[in-house]
Amino acid sequence: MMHDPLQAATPALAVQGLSYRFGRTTVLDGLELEIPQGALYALLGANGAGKTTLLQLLIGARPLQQGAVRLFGTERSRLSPAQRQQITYVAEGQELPAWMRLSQLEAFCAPLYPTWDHALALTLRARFELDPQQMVGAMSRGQRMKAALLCALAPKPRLLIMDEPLTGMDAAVKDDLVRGLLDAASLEGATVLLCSHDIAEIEPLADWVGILDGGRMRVSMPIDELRARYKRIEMVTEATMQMPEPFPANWVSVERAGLRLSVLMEQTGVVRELPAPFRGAARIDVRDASLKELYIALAGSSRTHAHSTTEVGA
Amino acid sequence: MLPFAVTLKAGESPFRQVVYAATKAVVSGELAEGSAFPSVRELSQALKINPNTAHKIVAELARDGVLDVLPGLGTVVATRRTATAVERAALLSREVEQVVVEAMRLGLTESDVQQAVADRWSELSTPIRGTVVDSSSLTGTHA
Repeated sequence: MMHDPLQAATPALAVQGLSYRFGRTTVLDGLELEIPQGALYALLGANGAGKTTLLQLLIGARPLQQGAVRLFGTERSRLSPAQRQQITYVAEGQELPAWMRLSQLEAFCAPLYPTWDHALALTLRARFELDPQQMVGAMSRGQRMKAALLCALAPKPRLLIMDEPLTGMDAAVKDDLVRGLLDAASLEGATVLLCSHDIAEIEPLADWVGILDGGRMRVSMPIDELRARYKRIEMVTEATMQMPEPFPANWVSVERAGLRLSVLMEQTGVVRELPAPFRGAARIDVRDASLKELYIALAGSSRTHAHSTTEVGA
Repeated sequence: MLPFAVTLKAGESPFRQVVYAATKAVVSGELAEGSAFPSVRELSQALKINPNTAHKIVAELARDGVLDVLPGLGTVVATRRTATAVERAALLSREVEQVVVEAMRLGLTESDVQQAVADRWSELSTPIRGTVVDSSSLTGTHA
């Protein structure tokens, strides 16, 4: 994969100060995000966190209220038709014309993209076990998602954006979709952005990960860096132990049950020292945090926060 | 299907898990010297891992001397070479120390560790055919 270094330095996506409201509800609140070219970026967030709204703002399906969105260095509203043709998007539960056969759907989409690759479309059809003669309306959910992915991949996009492509799919369909996505990601320099609830499925797939919560990105970094940065520490404490008050700033979440204490903390390198009260703990285990643990800790934190501010306002 | 066994555990780095599994397959003879190693794309597709991760795995294995990259032909399992003095010193000081520290922390004795090392050594150096390896006692990651 050879790139022009200058071109590769421009992020595929750059978002600055993006805010969005539905009436009085603030969904995105000064969000900053940068996705490098060639990344397979997994956007994670709880239901209602604003993932879909963010994706719609990125592709221009919603008007900007505040902030800036740049795709490959160009302001969203200034993208040329040629640049737009390099970006494909699949919505959650993407609607497709029910009265078309798959072959007609392909023939309908192909002229929209100068880079549409017929050979690739055929390969994907075979891989996804789709029948070109089948009516879209007669397809199962999984087949429809595969057809949508086929139409989004065949143009060989520079940027593919997918909203919950795996949700509600059975294991075999997920498998096909994931392998299709990996093929897309291995195309020269292609960038893939997808949001998903299926962390276990996404974790080995993604090389970048971001967690959206409270209208902002709580975390956005290469997944390897994320693994190196967060540790889970489990210990059995003495009965008389006092918890530090307040918690050290690098503690992301703390759970306590009886004498067991489990802390998720931000810590690069080897954990050498714990805060004073824990040095006498009987048993201490340290391991890298999993993406799932981190997601639960980070995407959950502002739920409590939002709850308390609601009470103040009421 | 891949020519070596690896079952990815969720929540752990696929890079480390696959590098470890491939290295183990090579030292135990499951992957013979000179045999073809899967391409980046095959690794990515078979394990459903990011192509960049698959690329890094192959690069790491080549750097470790486990694989030979033959430009234009692909990647093959390297001929086992004698480790350099530096590599041996590194293994004995760093990797072994980690095991000893862990063992002391868990309250194991020196002979517990020696026994475990002897067991694994004979397991991995016996030809695979006919040998039953209880994988439940093996740790899947390589720190």
